[in-house]
Amino acid sequence: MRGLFTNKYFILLLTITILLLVMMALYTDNREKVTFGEDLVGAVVMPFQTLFTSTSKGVGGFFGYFADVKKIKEENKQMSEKIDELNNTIRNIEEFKLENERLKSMLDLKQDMWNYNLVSAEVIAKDPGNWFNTFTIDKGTSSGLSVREAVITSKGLVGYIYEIGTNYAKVVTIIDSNSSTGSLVVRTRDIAMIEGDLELGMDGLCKMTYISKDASVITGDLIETSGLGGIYPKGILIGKIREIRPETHSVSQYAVVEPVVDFERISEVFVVNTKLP
Amino acid sequence: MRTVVYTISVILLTALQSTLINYIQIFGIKPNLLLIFVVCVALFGGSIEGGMVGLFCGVVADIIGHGAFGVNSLAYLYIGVIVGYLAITFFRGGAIVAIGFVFCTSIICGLLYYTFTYFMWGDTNLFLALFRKIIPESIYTTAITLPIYFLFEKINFRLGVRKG
Repeated sequence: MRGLFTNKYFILLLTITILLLVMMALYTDNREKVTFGEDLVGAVVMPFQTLFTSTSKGVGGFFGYFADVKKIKEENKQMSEKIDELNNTIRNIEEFKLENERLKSMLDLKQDMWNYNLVSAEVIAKDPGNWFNTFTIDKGTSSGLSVREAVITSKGLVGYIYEIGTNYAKVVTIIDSNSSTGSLVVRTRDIAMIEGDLELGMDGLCKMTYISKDASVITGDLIETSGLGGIYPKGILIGKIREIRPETHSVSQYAVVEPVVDFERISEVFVVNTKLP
Repeated sequence: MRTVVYTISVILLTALQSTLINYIQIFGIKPNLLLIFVVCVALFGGSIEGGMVGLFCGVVADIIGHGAFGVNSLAYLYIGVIVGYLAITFFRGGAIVAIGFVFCTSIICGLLYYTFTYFMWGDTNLFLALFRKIIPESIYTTAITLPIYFLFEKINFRLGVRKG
């Protein structure tokens, strides 16, 4: 022990530890704009990430052809089930009407999205660990982007930019356990919160909490952003309610929400830019 | 020469960890390449080299990744120092020792991560974190240790470095 921890090395180790602990305390809260050093490391690693991502897309495309056969079979099965489901829907006029209203609201949302200033970006990397649902895009401050700007796809909401460098930006998704989003039930206009959850996030899901006691949410209800909170514009589609569960330690309930975006296969996104004309 | 090789290795491994590794996920779990690298460096180079490379790996991982800054830096620094010390003082073995160290340090790393990013902020679902994140990641990381260890041994042999 004495051989290893001679004073010189022990003091060095102690100094580095204290320094890191101080940095940890300083940077725990939103380190939105990165330092020069961080930007430099990002700039060095980013070309390799871009290279690996573009390589993987090419290889993935080749093997994807074979995987598609299995996928088509699955889709075929799903479509057959859908036909049965639709036949039932046609028989029930009231349900048909409701479904029609939902589809109409979806269409309105899609059209609304094109009214924003959208900057397209490619996903070049995902979080290196297993704990967070975050990813990195290839646009940063040089493209006019800034932190706390919403990120979407043509299907719906993805998340927002939480940290930005010159040529890259990190995006936290709505299924990350650090994320919370003001939301609205399309059918009833009830306001609630969409939050990431460690367990649900593993299956690409999130939870809807703070549902009012009077709210009559049902499975299949569509959820969109409420516009409250200052990050997300109002009316972006989030997902639909898959299940309603009671809270473990209270009398209230929460809903399991299935986002419309598939976070595993996300490769291109749009940033809702607030600065560009 | 070794410094250059290690620096390039860390940059490449970090880029791999955030890109191609996502394609070999099993049940949403991916292995930790940087941890294997730090353990290998510490086994071959001892505590000082292990600590230095560990700190560098940790800082890069903290910058590229998400979460509280410094968790990876602290974890990899101490993993490098302690593994390097234990390897030189008590263990002379090769691949088996590397596997053992990778598994143990992966569990410790996972627990540290959980503590700093979830437990401290009120999430106390340790059972879930342990059985759905920490242990699967440790098993997966341990499973791919051998090829990386032998590759590392070969590179070090070329660079004229012997274990311990």
